[in-house]
Amino acid sequence: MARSVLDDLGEEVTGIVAPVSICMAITLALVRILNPEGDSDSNSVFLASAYYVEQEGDSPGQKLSGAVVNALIFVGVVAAMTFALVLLFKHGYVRVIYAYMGFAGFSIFFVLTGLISIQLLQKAAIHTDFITFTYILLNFAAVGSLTLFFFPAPLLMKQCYLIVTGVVTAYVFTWIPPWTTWTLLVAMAVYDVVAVLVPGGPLKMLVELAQEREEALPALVYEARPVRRQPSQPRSQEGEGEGRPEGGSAAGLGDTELPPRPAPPPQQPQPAPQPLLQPGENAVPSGSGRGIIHPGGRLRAAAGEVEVEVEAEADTQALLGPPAQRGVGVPGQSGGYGYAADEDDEDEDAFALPDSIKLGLGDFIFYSICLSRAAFSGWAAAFATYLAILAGLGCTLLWLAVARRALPALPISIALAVACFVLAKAVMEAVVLPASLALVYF
Amino acid sequence: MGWTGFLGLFLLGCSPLAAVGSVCIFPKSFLLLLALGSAFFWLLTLFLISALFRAWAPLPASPGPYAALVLVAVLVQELARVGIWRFHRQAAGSVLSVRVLQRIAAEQGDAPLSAADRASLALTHGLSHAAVHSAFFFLAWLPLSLGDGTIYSPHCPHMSYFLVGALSTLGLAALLAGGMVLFFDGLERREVGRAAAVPMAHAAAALLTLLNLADGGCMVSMPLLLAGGGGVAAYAARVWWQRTTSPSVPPRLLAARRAAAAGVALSGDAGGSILAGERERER
Repeated sequence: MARSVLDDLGEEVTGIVAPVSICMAITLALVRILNPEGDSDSNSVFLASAYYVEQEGDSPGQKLSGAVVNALIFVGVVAAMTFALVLLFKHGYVRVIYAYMGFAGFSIFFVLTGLISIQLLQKAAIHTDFITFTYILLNFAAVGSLTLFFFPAPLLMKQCYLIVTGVVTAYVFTWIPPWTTWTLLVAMAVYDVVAVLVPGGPLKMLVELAQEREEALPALVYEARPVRRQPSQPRSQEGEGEGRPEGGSAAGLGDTELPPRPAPPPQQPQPAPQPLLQPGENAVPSGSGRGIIHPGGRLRAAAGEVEVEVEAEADTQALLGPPAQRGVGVPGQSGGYGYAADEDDEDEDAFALPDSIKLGLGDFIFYSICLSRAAFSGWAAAFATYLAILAGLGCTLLWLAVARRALPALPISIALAVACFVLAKAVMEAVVLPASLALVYF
Repeated sequence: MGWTGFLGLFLLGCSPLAAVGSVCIFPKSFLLLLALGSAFFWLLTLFLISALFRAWAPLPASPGPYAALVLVAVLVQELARVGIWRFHRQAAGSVLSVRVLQRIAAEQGDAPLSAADRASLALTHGLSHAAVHSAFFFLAWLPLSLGDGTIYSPHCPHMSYFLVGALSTLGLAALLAGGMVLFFDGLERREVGRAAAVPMAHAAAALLTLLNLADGGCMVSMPLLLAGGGGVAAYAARVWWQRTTSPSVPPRLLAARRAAAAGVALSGDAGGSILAGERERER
């Protein structure tokens, strides 16, 4: 029996939506377990409260103005560090970047994850000895930082470590006071637009540099690579991992994701060691990471993290190449949406997603912060915010399918999330809650 | 009541439809994404209903204002249902429409959408509607049950607010999910009467909950709501079974399509492709 079109359509999108949802859900669960009262602590992220420390007794005007200044300082520092990253990347100091990222990753996995784990163990009244705990944590951190940046590892393992990074960082950010959090989210969304789309924006420069040099983007980027079958390939011929685009790999334990390969600096001989490259693999595997650590050793949502980017190698070329060389019927190049009909070729090609969709880890973090902060105001607001974030992500992916270039993933989602949060609190709760309490349903 | 009560109420109100979703919707990426998009649409519908009555909120706990709220809410939701139907069948540029799905299937060499596929699409929209209803009328307030006590409505001292909420949610959610399958099926087969019965059933169920404003009304409304929801869901399941186990195109429609279709596929006509798909499945 022929297979149904519904069997695998949209897998590339769920490959992104699922981890985003998992990241948000785990962050939310952590927040509800460890901070059920929704307390704030301005010292948790020093940079987010550098100018103004929000107090409960302050007037809304004071809170708003202080939060705006805080957000401007935060965005300014992020922008400055992203420019620094661009300069390092431009001048070939890729090893410095990856060494820095390795240190940052280790700090997150060892220090922050350790602190959260201790709190969880205390909450669950589970007793453990110091040596065992440290041994496990050290191994966890070492494996995480090495496999994310330096050694080959199963893709699923990398994805799990990336999600852990997002959860831990987002959890720390949920301690920021509410006004500062919301202002920061909006400010980062605006900055994201400028950084990715405006000529001269740091992220735009970074992506263009990476594409020009055919190198991996030095950023913490989550990559989803679904199993893909060729057009007209019957199900019986498909096996585990078959049908994937050439050079790609399916997400799974059996697949090994190569670490990012720092490119040789220009005009300099590059000595080994290089990571192993398998025949047929992309020369520059994606999923490489970057994180910017402020002097306190904490990962910040760096500018480079907040973007959706298309496949940097063959896929990008396929998507950006001449129409005759892309689209429907080119195995491994067109997405699942590549449906060709005579008169609608142009329109339909315009909605082809790349084979591999990447989402910066900063987006995971800010989505999770947004949802967790909304959940402090009630579950109705949290549900509305969750749906809005995913709707925004869906719109961004549609935009990606049309634009076929690196795009900011924050603005639509954050705009929708903030709007839906306000509507849920100010409009819906006022009508639905009394009706629900009166046991009147519709 | 603690976690035990919370979990029990959650399972009572949500587990049947969650189980249906887990089996029919969640394993397929496209349906999952469609469910999320549809849920966002139903959320916007809820915002619109709330905005229309925000000026009078909170409504006085008497039948008049709540009857107005219920009728307007049902009207808006049913208009939204018609909007979903039009989008589902006729949106030319959207990957979510049946027409485009048929073209994708043809391009990829897949079978055209079968009756089961079309029912899955309808069920996805219905479950999304039910999920949004359950989330905002029941789940959002369920964490309150984690406290030491419970809540009773003054008009319903027989059962706790949470128990009434769980059972009413179950009944109404089953009605909304099953109703969407029947609505889509009725319109596909051009049986407008059957399709029109769904909005009426929705309105009747919503008006039935107004009985909860009278003393002891919940003892009448809740069983009726559960029975209505269960009946609609069972009928939808029966229709689904019939469509997927027997040639589903009625003779009148079949004759018309045969006359119109010189070949197997009618260009751009989902009906022709559907027919072709069913033939292939039968073979």
